[in-house]
Amino acid sequence: MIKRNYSGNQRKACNVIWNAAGRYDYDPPFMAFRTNGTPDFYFNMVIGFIEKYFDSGRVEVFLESYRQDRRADEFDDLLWLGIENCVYEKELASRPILSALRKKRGEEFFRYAQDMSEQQMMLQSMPVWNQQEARWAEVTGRRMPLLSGREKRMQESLRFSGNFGTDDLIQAMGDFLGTFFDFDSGRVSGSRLGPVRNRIFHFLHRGRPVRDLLIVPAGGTVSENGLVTLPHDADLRRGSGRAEKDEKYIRGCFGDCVYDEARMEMLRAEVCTGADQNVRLWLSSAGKMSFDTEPSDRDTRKEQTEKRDRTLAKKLSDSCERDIRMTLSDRRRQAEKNLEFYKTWQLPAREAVRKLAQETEAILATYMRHLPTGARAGSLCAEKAWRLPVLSDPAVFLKPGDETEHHITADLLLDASQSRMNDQEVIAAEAYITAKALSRAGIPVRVVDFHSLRGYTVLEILKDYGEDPEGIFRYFAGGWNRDSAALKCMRALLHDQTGDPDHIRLLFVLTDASPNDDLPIPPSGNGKRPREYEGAAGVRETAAAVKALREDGVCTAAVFHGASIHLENVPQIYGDCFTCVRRMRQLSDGIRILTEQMLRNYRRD
Amino acid sequence: MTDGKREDILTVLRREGIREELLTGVEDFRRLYPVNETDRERIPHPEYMYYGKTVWEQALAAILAGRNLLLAGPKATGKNVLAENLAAVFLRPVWNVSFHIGTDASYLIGTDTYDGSRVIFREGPVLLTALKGGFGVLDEINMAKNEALAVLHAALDFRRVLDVPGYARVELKPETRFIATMNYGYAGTRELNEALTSRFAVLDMPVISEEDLMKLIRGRFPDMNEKICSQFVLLYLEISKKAEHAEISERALDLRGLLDALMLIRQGLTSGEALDMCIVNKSFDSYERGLIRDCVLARIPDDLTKEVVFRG
Repeated sequence: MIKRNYSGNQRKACNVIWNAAGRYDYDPPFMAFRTNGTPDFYFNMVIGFIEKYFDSGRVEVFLESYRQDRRADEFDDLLWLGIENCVYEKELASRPILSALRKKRGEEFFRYAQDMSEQQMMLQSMPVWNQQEARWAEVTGRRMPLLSGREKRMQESLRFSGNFGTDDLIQAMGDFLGTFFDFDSGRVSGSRLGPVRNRIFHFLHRGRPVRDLLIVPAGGTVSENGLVTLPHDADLRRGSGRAEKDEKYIRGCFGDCVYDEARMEMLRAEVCTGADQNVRLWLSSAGKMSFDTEPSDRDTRKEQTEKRDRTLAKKLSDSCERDIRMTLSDRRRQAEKNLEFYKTWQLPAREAVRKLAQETEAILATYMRHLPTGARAGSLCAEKAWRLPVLSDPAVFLKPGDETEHHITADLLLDASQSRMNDQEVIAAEAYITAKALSRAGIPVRVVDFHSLRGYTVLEILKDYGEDPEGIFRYFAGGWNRDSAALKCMRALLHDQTGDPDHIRLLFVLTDASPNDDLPIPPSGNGKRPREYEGAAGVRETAAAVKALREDGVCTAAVFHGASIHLENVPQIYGDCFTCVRRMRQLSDGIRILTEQMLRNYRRD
Repeated sequence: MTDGKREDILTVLRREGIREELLTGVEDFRRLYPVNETDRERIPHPEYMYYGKTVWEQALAAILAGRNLLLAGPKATGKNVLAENLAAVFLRPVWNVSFHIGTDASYLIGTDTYDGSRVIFREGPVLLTALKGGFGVLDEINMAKNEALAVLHAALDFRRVLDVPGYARVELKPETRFIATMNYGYAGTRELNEALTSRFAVLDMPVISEEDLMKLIRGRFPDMNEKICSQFVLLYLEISKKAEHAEISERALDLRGLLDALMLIRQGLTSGEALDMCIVNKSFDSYERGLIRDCVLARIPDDLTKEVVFRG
């Protein structure tokens, strides 16, 4: 999914444009800013009106047609004066305030002119300056500047009529450039321009281009719907002699396993069965992991492990160290990107956290048991009824009190395979918002991501219960996703929490519902050959793991975020307990619905 | 409704072109079920008229057919205004119940209490509606737990009875109707279960149209300058669009706020001050306030006074 993100001022400008255009699905190719970086209110409205009244794509192509000319900036400034006049005349009848806004814009021009230094003035293109001054002087009722005959003709030509359609406008702009600048826009054919749709350029604000953050793939090929095609790299298939190297790589990239050998053995016994019997497991904690690429700083292993690794290092080629260094460097960069992305989205994200926390609190208040409290009205409490005639105590009734009893924990399991590569920042932000909101509502949250690399299914705890959610920004996508093994691991982790019969465990899986691993499913009783872990087989294994989780009393739901081609897998794996999140702003609603659904099902069970 | 003498809502509906057979049905209903003098004060006198021919016809038909109504729709679609208008047009006393997460059966039906000498039963609003043949307005019904609403099932379906545990089985008077409202998007709201939904005729409330909003404002402020009125209408629709596309929250999407702003202008505030108070400042996020203010600035000048907005 290609997403466009705007900074605060850009979004403000966009809102003015969208409002003027009357539509919010329009991706404005231009934005207008003042020299101090704030949006130019009036000209952003003008841009919106272009979309409202013209075929903005064609206008954009025309304005792009002279981009290679050295006078492009001058052309821009002049033609926008013409466009401004045209849309002003068109819109005025339905928006009377426009004349006041236009006048205000004119006054701003003269204020700006007053503040200009002599040097700045000398840098101006005088033909442009004179035209602007003439336009705004006319609008504000000031004395007109002295114009030459040619400039007067230019001024007249730039009064594009309010009766213009798209063809007329383009014709007028072409004629203007041809007449006064000897520029033939017809020489530049539309076909040679190529797709310019997504290019943003600015005017009125030279030297500070509008920054447009387009989330583009960092690797692989990407289709329009954001689906990443992964190369089925034969090198990823491991030979048995590579076991030590693989472990070193996994340890180097994800840190030490948080379980000791005995506990890992128990975990393996529980998880590595059936289709996942050849899987190796690794459970790490991002909080204990450093992205420092220097081995000496990175190494926090116990002495025994160090010795073993030093021995191994002799046998292993330097390529492993190189791989680790590269991965750690990628991880560090991605963590920075995740954080940066969140900062751009901070405002809507904060609103989403607040909304989701509020909704979750409301849901909890509804579904959790209210402890009864004594009252003067309500249900008569038989045990206390005697107090009424004997002691004249009217508080013999019971009503639901404010205090509730509940013990809920939530786990977020994030698919971190390479197919998530395009959406890493979005997924990290979504997980952060969910974790923060649920925590705020009093639900302890743990966030775990998983991927399969070099035969290992790695679960990395990004945030443990009670920890700060900042660790979630360490989310990093790469490798495959063996969902069934990850879910079985989660089942084992959650199984450790049993003891309190009232404990409700919620598990949200952020997934693209496309289980895929290069480690095949070993041959079962009737099968003669191993099968690939993908497609229907992967879905079947994952569905079985979800079923086992639910049988254990873990309320499991999916937040689907991926290509629609895999959407049909979601109900097969998760039943009706899932939601689709296409945009970040849908997240809080999705989580709310799922939380409510899971609690309702839990109560029913 | 104008500030002056209120005209009968039935007359307004006739002028709006509502089907005559429905209006005749309303008149028959009024004749058939006169109101007790003691309950007359509970018949609402709506400050605002709901405009929307189709919705009116659907609602009147449902009520005349003996159905209960569920008005479902987003914020500011006039659900409560319509509920109040319906009670007014049928001349029925109204009992309002605002649902919240703590609403339980006893709150709806009634509770035991002590009157100083003995335990007595204090009737709740739903029971009073049933006994007096009124209209019960169940506001934001989806805020309550489904368990709490289960007590209403028998009252809302063909049985039309309310069982008051330990007391009596009350049959609803034939003129009793329940009008529920629900908003899809509010925090804490939930889906109504099938059992409850099936007991209502559901009216999906549309967002008010430009024409109807114009009528609403003109009805409330008949002396308002027509051109300025149209700009206020367009401003509201633009804010509505902004909220619909999640650029701003729904806080500023407040029809009452818009009407309040006009009232403040009439009281002597400038348009900028009034709109700030009643629309812009409804958002507590400074950035969002900026977006809303831009929206206002693109339509309404800051300095309009009552002399300009109203003819006098």
